[in-house]
Amino acid sequence: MTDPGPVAVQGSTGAGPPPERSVVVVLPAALRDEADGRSTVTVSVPTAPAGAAAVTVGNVLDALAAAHPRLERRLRDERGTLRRHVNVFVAGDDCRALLGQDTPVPDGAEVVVLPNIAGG
Amino acid sequence: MTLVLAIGTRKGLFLARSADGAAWKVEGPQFLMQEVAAVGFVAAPGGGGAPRLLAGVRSEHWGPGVSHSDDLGETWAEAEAGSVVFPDDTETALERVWQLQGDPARPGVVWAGCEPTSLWRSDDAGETFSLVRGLWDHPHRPWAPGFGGAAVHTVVTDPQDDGRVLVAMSSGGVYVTRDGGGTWLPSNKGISAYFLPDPYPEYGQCVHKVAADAAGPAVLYAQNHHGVYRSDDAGATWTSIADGLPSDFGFVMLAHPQRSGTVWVLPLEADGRRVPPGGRLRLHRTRDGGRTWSEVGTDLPDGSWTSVLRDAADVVGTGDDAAPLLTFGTRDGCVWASTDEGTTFVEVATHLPDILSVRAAVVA
Repeated sequence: MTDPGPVAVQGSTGAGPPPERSVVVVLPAALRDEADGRSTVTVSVPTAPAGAAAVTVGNVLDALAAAHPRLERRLRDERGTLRRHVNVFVAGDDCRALLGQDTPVPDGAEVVVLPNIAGG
Repeated sequence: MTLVLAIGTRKGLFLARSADGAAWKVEGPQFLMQEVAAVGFVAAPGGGGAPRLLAGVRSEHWGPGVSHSDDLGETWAEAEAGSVVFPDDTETALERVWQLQGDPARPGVVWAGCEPTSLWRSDDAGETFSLVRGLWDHPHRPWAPGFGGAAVHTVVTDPQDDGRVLVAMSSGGVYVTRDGGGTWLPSNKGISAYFLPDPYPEYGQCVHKVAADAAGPAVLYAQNHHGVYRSDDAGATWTSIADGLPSDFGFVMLAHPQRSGTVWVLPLEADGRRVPPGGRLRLHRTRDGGRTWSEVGTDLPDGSWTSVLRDAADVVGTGDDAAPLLTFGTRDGCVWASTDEGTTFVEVATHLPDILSVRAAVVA
């Protein structure tokens, strides 16, 4: 499939329109059908979600979920837990080795989703 | 008339088709590299046409779900927001779909048995399911997991009484509701749990599979984790019918869809020796409700050290009482089919991945 290229997705903004920041999420080939064939999705995430000091991996995944519920189910279970063999890298670092879904996403950092090695 | 087998394996779904039960064409895999632990043919929405095919699919990476196909596997769809999704208050996530069972007397109704131990009901032919709260909130939960995980793996409905449903779980045993799922009572009297301090507890048995007699679910047959049983009172009490079998261990229990009293089991040596007795992969058939058994399957192999899982076998009627379509698949990837009540078999497929589930259908 030809990659249609990045698309901007509006994140949930809650009450009032807080300032937002765009974050690029890179998807593995196996998940592109769940995102209209795109290899990257650009999400808009509030920069100051309630009670949070920075944009986090969880905020990015929430914004992704709002636009692509099927993609969300592939990445996280119904409890919101990142699936065991799904890895999310922030600026090259595995978020599990940092703060998990609370890992901050710095300005300009790319979020990359990759499947871990699994199965036999 | 086309005979169709849906074959769920550790690495995807295969479909086999035959016009005569002798020559088969196998296609697949679909859902490659995804485990298909449950398959089911259910009534098509709106009735008529080919049955709907359901597949309980689980990716090691991307999680579990139920997909449905209304063109016998040509195309598939899955509910946008998920098919089997635990409600928030349960603080639980779905691990695996073990069972997809249509309700023949009530088209549109499909039951799903899932891991962790839970029962789900669909009223849209398997697209979306609702948790059966009466079982989920049962005071006996959580039940201890068996070797393969904790799940409801068997659902038996009653064509005469839509309030009555029987489930079996490993472990946990048999439970029955008479009010459509609101309340559930254990139904294991007479079934052994030799691995517990009390070998005949109220619940906690490891019942592997239950099948209803052709005459209706007042008569039931159960393959237990050691023990083969019959109930003549809809599961209230169970008595052993294992005499005459080479072993009382196994996973498969199949009842003839038209002939009352005809049942097949597929014995394995023992809990600690899960292989065909002496390497002889055979079914054993009774025609008298378990009083006597005969080994059948003259074409099945000797020197076979595989096993057959609880849902990797099925039998469906073809319109000829003497020729139901009987099929099973092995953990070493072979599928066998019989149209003479198991007396002889043909090999449908070999060298498939580990077979987890097989269901048969007869399509006009």
